[in-house]
Amino acid sequence: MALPRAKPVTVLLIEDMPSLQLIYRSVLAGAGHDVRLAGSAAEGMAQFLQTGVQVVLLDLGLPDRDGLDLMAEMMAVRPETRVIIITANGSINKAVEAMRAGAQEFLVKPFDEVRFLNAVGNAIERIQLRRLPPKAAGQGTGGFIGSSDVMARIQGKINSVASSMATVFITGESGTGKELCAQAVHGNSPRAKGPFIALNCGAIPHDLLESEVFGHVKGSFTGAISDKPGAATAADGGTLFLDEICEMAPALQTKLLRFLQTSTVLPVGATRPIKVNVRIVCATNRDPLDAVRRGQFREDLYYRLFVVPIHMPPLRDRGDDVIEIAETALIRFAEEEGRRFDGLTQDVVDLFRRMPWPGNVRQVLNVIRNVVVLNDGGPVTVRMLPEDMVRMAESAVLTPQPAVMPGPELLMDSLLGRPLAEVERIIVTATLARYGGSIPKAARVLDLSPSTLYRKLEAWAKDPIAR
Amino acid sequence: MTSDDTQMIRARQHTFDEAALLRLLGLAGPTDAPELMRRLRADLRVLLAGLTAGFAAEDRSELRRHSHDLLAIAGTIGARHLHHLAQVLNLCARDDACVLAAPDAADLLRRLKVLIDRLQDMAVELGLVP
Repeated sequence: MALPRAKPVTVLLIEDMPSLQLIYRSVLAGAGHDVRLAGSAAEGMAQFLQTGVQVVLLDLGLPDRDGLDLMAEMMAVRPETRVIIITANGSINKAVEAMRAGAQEFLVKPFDEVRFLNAVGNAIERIQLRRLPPKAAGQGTGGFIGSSDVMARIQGKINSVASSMATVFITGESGTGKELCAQAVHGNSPRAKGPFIALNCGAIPHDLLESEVFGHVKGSFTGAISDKPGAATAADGGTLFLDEICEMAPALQTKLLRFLQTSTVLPVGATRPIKVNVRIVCATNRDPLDAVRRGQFREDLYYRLFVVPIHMPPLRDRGDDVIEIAETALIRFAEEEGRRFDGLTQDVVDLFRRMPWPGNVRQVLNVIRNVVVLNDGGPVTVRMLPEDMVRMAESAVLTPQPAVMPGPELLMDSLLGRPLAEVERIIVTATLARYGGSIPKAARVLDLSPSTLYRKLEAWAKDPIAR
Repeated sequence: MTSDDTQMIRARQHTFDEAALLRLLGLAGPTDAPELMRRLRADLRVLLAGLTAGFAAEDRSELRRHSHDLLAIAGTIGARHLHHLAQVLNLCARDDACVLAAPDAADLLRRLKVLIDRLQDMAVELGLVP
């Protein structure tokens, strides 16, 4: 099943190669995003001004203007704009320059669908989370909305751990607020006045990540035209947040371990280490122990980092928090759009309670934004919600009743003689059940992208077959 | 069999991973898949012309620009060897003191022609020629 066709933020894609334009647009549209296209800097700027877009995918190699100049002009007009840079291998230094100038992320060509969609999702999430009112019913000091017991426990844990120097390891599905949690740990700590530096280890190419974390000295590699402090040095006196830590390459894991043991950083090409005072918070939406078992993550690093674990619960485990989040977002988004809505009807509340919310808080925000943009006001009814979301809530596709698993011989017998499409559906449904309805986890096990799995589930929801 | 024949066969053997392109065509859907194939062929023909001119004139700026675009497209559709050649060419076109062996122009252009021909054949095979 695809994510609900919410169009909370239109994405502007500025890419001059027609074939790549179509490829990127297909991927974005398939994930439910509304896409505006521009083939040049001039066209891109015109669209940017006319449409008020807040997420921009910008190819650095445009024919009529330097991409960084364009980005600077866009951010001068609307500083809250999230610009995702797309660059070829030879322009890595430019991409680093763009990050320093405020770009959200950069993606290296050739295109990687998962990274691409993650980058856009992260950008939208940041915009929407920033827009939520700072104080709302049930909101804790961490910026979380929701009065459920489970979130109260999370808040309590954050308050307890914030004042120490212990490393915090945050786990949880995508969209559950891991970065918000990291910010809360920092904000409630004695280091709150110091820097909070976030690095997405999954978004930065492996060959650039060491320089990003530890910095480099001039001449240390081709393109290192000046000294550059890394994130660890920039976070001196504050907090370094390493998101998607399980994506870190093994060689860099070794260096990170040394950093944790010695509190010193050695920039690429340097001969003398630099002492820093940094508190580490890291996060992943994977199972870190599974990454250790697969040999993708060092066991000693895992134990070094996994000192204070905080697991951000999926929204479906947070009781009525989904209603509080939805109502808070409705007030705020309506205010931004100059409209007036009169809350959620009971049907919508009941439907929201039934929804498994595989995209978690981010998905709720997408849906509410969709409602506000596409409707004039009044009470929010089921008719205002995206159709596929309503189908998801009303079907059992994402929360199938776990079946008693037969033994291997019986399982094979039950599959033989069935059409391949049906076999696929049985296996996918059983895998989802095993992983508690978690699409990211099931997709990983099945070696599919989450977007492919969403599309299959959506197609099946439209065409239910007898089980 | 001539030396040219041997080189063409070698080029065809390493053309590209068709599964990657098929996946992209699936994402484009039946409406946009024919257009995607058309655009890919059109873009690659433009790059072929640009690189041919760039090599002939030893124009590094042209070679840098076109190899930048070629590595993006080749990499996206799974033409790994061509992507690698374009990547090396792009790096060398940027760096005065390029210590990497610049790719053989004739080999790169030959592989690009083979790719364009293969895309044309695929478009016919898949019924994606408008």
